[in-house]
Amino acid sequence: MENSDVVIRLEKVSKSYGDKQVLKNIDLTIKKGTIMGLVGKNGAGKTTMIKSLLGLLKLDSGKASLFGEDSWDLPGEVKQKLGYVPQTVNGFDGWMTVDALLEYTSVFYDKWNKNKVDKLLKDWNIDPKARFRSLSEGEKQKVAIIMAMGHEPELYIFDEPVASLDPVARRSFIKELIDLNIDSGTTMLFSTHITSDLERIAADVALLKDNEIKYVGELSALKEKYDQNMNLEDIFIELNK
Amino acid sequence: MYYITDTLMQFAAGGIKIGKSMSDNKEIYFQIQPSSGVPIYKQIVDQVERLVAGGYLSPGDELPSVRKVAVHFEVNPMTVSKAYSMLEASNIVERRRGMGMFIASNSDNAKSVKQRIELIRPSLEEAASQAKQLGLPNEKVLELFKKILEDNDGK
Repeated sequence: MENSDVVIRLEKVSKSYGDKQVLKNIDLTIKKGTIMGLVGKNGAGKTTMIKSLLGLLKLDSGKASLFGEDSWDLPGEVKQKLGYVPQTVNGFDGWMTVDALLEYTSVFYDKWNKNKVDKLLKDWNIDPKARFRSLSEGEKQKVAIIMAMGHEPELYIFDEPVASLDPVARRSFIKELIDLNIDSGTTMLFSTHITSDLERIAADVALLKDNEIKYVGELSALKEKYDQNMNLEDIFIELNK
Repeated sequence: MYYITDTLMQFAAGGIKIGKSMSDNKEIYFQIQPSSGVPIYKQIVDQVERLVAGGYLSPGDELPSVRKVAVHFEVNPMTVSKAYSMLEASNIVERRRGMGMFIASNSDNAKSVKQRIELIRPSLEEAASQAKQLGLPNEKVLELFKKILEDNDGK
């Protein structure tokens, strides 16, 4: 029977591109309210794992599910509960204004918190009348985050969420995430290779190495295994040896 | 590394005011260093323990809320909750429903020696007055009191 507390589940997931194996027998369970960081070097399989979860990739073997539903065949009501921010924010119609883009996004969802969206645009200094293609990379990423927040999802999946955010936006983004986590028990999975972010916001961590999960569990337990003088970056370098 | 600018460092260095020193009236701040090798929950537990032992935090003092600590230091709320629960389990703080976390009022232990001395003064004043009425020399009375205290310790 499916535990209703489980939001994300990967069971023996494997995936290859041609003869290059990218994910090897991945097992991972994430419960409601967890903030988990997904770390690993470039090419370790982070983005592939996230895409498998979202049903954007067909698995070779194993099973990926969100809210107990098969990722490859996600029902509409699960998509309503999901907010995804991809690593690169291309593919939107660049001629649309930010306003129009958000309006367009909102029609796909049953609920849309316009107050929150407007507040974030204001806080993050985004001109709603600007055309998307005229924005800087950082501004595009801000818009992508706002697009993923409007429908108040129960689960966020971020692929390198803050890579091009300025410090002020980054801080208000993290504050927003903490509020959501406390108020609604929102679950979050984010991939990063910047350990300083991870050390703060994530209580749990999954480390991908050579396309396998090398460690999954509490960040504090991982730290306690190592010398006190080693910070997380040192530990990851050690684990990656 | 990319975004640890001066502004952010100032935020991180700022700390949260959680009390006042009784001796010199200095304000006491919580500090968390996420990049330290010491887990964040342990940094919080150790700090509160030290502040209580040092008299900087007294029974009834309120700890900053989980949300306040989490947002201020950009740390996971569950990590802060975990630290508070551990402090609660070791009776250093108590949870008051709907209000928050407070330094526990486990009475005499938390009071200073000076405060406790004041509690025993009336009994000693009464004994001194009786000793005087009986015309007993001070040395003899002190000797007896010392013996009683030592016998008490042995029990």
